[in-house]
Amino acid sequence: MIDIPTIPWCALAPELAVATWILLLLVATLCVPAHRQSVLSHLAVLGIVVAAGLLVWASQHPSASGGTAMLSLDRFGGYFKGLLLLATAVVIVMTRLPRQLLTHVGAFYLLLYTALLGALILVSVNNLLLLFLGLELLTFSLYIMAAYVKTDPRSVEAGMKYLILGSVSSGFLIYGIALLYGMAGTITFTGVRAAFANTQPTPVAGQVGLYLILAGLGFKVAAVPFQLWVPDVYEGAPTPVVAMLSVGSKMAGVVAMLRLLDGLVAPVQWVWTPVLAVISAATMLYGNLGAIPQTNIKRLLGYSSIGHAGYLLMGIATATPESAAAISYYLLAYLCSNLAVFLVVVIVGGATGSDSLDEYRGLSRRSPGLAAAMFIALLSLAGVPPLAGFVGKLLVLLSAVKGQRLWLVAIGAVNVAISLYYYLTVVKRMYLEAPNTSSSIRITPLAAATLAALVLGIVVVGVYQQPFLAYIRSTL
Amino acid sequence: MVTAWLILFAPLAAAIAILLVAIHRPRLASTLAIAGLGTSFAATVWWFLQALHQPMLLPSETSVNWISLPNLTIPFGILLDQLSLLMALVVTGVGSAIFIYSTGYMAGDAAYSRFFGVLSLFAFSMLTIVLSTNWIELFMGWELVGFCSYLLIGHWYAKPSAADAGKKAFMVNRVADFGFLLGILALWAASGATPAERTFHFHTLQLRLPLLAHAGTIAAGTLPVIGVLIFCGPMGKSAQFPLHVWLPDAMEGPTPVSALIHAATMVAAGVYLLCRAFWLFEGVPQVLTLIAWVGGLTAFLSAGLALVENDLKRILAYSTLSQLGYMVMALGLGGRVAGMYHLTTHAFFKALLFLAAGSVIHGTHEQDIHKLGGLWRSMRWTSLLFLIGALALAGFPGLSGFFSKEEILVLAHEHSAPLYWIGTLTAGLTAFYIGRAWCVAFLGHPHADSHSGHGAAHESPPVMLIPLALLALLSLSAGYVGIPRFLGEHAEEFHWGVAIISLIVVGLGLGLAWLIYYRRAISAQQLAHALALPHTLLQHRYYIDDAYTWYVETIQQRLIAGLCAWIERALIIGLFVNGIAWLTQTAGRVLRRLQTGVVQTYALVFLLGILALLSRVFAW
Repeated sequence: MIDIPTIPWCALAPELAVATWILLLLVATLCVPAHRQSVLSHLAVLGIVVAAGLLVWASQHPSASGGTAMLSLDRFGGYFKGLLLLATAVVIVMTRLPRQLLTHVGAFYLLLYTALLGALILVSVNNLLLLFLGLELLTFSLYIMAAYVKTDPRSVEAGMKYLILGSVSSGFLIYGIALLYGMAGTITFTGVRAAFANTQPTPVAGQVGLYLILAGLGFKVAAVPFQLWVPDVYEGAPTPVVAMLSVGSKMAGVVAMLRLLDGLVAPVQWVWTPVLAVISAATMLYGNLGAIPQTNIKRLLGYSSIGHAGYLLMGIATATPESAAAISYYLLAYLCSNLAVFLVVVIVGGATGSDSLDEYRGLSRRSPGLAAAMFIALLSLAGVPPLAGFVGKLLVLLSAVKGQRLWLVAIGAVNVAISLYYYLTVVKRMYLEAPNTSSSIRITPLAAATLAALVLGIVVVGVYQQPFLAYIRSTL
Repeated sequence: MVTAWLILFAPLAAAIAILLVAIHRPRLASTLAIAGLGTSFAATVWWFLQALHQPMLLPSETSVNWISLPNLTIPFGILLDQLSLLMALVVTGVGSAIFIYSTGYMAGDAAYSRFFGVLSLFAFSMLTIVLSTNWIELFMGWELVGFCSYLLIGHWYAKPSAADAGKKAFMVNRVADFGFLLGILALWAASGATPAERTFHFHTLQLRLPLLAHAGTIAAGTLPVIGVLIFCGPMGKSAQFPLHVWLPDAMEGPTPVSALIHAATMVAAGVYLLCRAFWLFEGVPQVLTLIAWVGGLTAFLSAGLALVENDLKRILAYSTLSQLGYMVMALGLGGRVAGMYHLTTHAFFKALLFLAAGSVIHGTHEQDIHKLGGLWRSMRWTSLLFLIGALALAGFPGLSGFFSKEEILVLAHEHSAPLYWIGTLTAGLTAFYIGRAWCVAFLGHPHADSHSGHGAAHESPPVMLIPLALLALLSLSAGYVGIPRFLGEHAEEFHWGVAIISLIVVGLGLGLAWLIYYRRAISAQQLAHALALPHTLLQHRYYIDDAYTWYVETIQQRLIAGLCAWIERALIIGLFVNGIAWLTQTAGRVLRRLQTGVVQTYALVFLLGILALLSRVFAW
């Protein structure tokens, strides 16, 4: 007699929609002629809209929430699913902008959707096997996407490096999972957690397994010392892919870490949290100091994303409900700010054909709107009040203060100042230096609307925090 | 109550509108400013008439909660009583005349709109002081008028002397306001045992403080200290010795500013404050004595300075100092009504004198009285109007200044003989210096080298003369309209002895001025030789400015500022700023070394990282 588990189909509706769309896009890519490629992007956007609609519907359906041994389909995951869908939509907008190097967008969307599905699984993961599967689905898609521009050697190099190092990290991750399975005899979070809780002293195999998993996830979120791939891949990969990498992939990794910490590691928190605190400090310092001498905007943003990973890890290391709320807020702010910055990078890169920081000289005179959006987004990334990034940083630092890790807070505060320096060097180029050419950069209405919406988000989330914060607290 | 809020906010609305839409449209800017203050004036008059018909209407108070913190609520409101209504009437009335005058005086100025914008903001700030219901609101207005004064003194900021004068005014007032703020906070702290009980509210304080003092809750020495600290505010704003040094320099601003801010309204704010908080000073007689003496000395010493000054506007500035001294002295002698009465009449005739002086400057581009002369012929109207103001200032019988000054002298006669004689002597000096200014500048012959290149002196346009005429009317009539009665207290009894002595003194002053500077019967040079010591002292302004300069340059700039500069250069810039910049940049360069681009290195580091993690398990 096979025990057939009841599957919560309603709660899975967004994931199912995304999976359906993967098939749809596959068929469509084969059917749609080369000169009608825009149909594909419409289809891709439609998929996001459908999935978002189903997400809202599922969240309002009381019977739809719940979980299985595989996935926790709760409101906490729902919040991040919403953010992931939003990020994917913005990435699709980026591919629609003129003069992108991408051809065959159909296959690109297909990969984007598989990456999205992997990320959706990761944010509600409740099982070690699904952790591995979700991670691999996400990462594999990104390997291919990073190397998507086959004619550009930098893109191919980025994809290769990401693939090699990603494989190494996956190897360690699966090794860690195997060790945990060996220790507990199960791969569900609750089962392993119970094994940890019941075994004294904590078995060495279990500890090693946890560290190896930490390394695998550390690679995803770009934590020191597993971050070396970041600048190279960010510089070489197509910008929309980098946007997905820096927002979607990082978010999925961070949330998976939170899930693990809460659902599996809780009885033996002392294994992770002190290490995470040290990693957090090193990551912040590495990212922010490394960004200073950069001359390429994408490389600079790569280091910046490492720095932000450090702040997120600070929240994870604190491991309180407050810090989880702080991370949720931080990710929302980071999503708006970083996507806005990458949108500007896509637009400027498309117009000038280069990602050098010198292309930003005098941008305020060439395209005041673009420069203003970039200015606000960069300030938000740096954490300047009253923008969204400030509130995110403040909440994370406050939760760390309450968690009694004052040395980490001090390092975090120092890093805010350091990060301000290199963000402002970009601003300085935009506002104080003379432009290379005086021609203005054309912006399509779609890009302008998206950028405006993101900047509005940065300001609103920064100024009017209460409703967002209340919602986030309600999801915990 | 809508009209009450209108009094306060119409000028602010004008200021904002000018900033937003009229900064490049001069005509619109002045129209907006005049409309704003005009509205305010009309609303004040409406209230005034209401109050005359129904005296029960006053006092009337309305407020909203402005700042709400746990245990601390600061309202923002409007208090209308006889005192504030009279002061608001002076501010909006004299202000309106000066606004209209300014459209002529400032015509063609490059920053015409900014001028009117700041002037409107000033009107709002001044009315905030006048109408405030509590100390914090008052202090906010107090600082705002100081700021507007700074902006307007430095209106022609490209001129170094104007920029310096603005700075000086601001800094002297900062020193004074520091004490003032301490006083306000000390008063708040004394007003209750717990934070929740404490208050900044005037009326509540007025009722509560005597009870607390009586019950012994407030330590015996506290109230005098609070009184002295609060008096610091008026010392700065009303330019009392020894903080008077900024006011003469403030004459660098455009003349309408001198008339409005540095004669009629802002500098009188200190006197107004003393009236508003008179209940506080009433309880501490020793502070009142101090106030009276500061006022008396200011009156006398400044009148002396006016004797040897040659700049027409600076003569008027010293005269303002001297008259403010009278008012403060009156307050110190317990004469709330007398002080306020003199404030009102002084606002009229001093604004008139300044505007007339402005008319002279406008017509001749000259303000040294010895380079002027014979204006009686070329600027008949201006000369006549100046004469009315001058006689009112001198205390010529029948004019407004005579009545209000008599009140103060009678008061002094009753309370303090030395102050009475100082006051009377000052009245003589006043008559002398204003007679001297009149004789030298308006009579006699035009100087050959004066106004060369500007053509002959010409009369100012009607838009400037009509406000002057209105102010002249007020200067003539303000003694007869019963201002003391409106303030609700009986006036001092008319004292024939005091009146006759002061008339003799004033007559002597005017006569001497006439003999020396018109008839030249006595040589001014020989007189200066004969009185060499006092003359030198006056020429150097009692060396007070020199003392401040010595202090600022030697002690502050060399010692304190030098130390600060060293700390900044060596420690802050050298070690912290540059040091940290060097550290971060070096760290950045080192980290870049690690980023080889070789994937084998990356994998190696990855492995080392994992080993480091695992070392935690196996290290022991």
